[in-house]
Amino acid sequence: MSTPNSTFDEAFAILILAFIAVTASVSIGSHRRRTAGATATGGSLVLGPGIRNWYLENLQPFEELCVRWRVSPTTLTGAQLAGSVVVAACYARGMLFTGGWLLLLTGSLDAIDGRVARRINGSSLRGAFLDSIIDRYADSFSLLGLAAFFHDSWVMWAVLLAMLGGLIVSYTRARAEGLGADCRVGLLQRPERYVILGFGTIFGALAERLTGPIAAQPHALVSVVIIGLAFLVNLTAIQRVVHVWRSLAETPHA
Amino acid sequence: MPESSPESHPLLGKGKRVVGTFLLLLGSGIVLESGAHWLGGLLMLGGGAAFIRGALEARPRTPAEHAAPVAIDAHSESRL
Repeated sequence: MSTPNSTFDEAFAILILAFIAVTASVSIGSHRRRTAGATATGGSLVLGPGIRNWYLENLQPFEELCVRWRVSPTTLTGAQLAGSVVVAACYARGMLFTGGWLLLLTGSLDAIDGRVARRINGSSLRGAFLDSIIDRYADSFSLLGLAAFFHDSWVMWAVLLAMLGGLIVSYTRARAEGLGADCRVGLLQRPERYVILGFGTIFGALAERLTGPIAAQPHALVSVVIIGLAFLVNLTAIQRVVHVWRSLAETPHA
Repeated sequence: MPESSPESHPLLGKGKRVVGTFLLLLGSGIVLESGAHWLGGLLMLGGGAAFIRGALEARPRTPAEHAAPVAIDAHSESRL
């Protein structure tokens, strides 16, 4: 790794931040002008429908390409798994900015695989099952990479808590649906987790280059993001448990 | 890759700009965080070229495209 806070690093980090700010504001502004007056649906408290719509619009060319080339959804799922291993390696080596970008890429693969499967009539129960399993591995790999990076700090425990919470959030829904209950609730679902962790590590790494360790705490911003993520993911798990508990109260045991 | 008319190519314009932005930022991350400056520089060059080509190929949208925003299928992504 290069030495943090050299003049080159600072200037380069400023350039990157400026590029991200200009590109994002131009792209989102153009999307807003085009969709002004249209009613966007979907979205959540963390990722509003407008941002979600903008994100999916940016992924549409790749979805079209996958459909045209008849890329199988299993291939996309496999690429997601391979990508998450690379993310873990980047995080473990302290390449938080690079890992964050690759995490957003693997999240995007996850977002389009189901859509591609439906469009090429490739949906199957086996595919859905495999996708769910790979998703759990992919989630865990990225967080394991961060845990390895923070192995000598208390932040590692927050990372592990976030990983545990993510698994419980998924398991709660799978178990609830197995029992016949609906469980489409929760503050942080997978796309939100990807966005928070991805952008958190990207901007955390840039902030570190610009400001250096804040109050002698290295990676202060990334640590705050991880703690927030761990809290919110576990809150989501509790939300789901309470929701399923209440909805099963009226269901007699078979 | 099958040959197709420029209008029907799905990676025209927007797709190239998105790929370009992604590669540019990935390359800058590698330059910033690893010793492989040549790889980062190469990705940045490729990304910059894709971004510029995408920006040059941007075509004006038809009224139908203006009126049709991308529909969100609330259940389309894996939401486990």
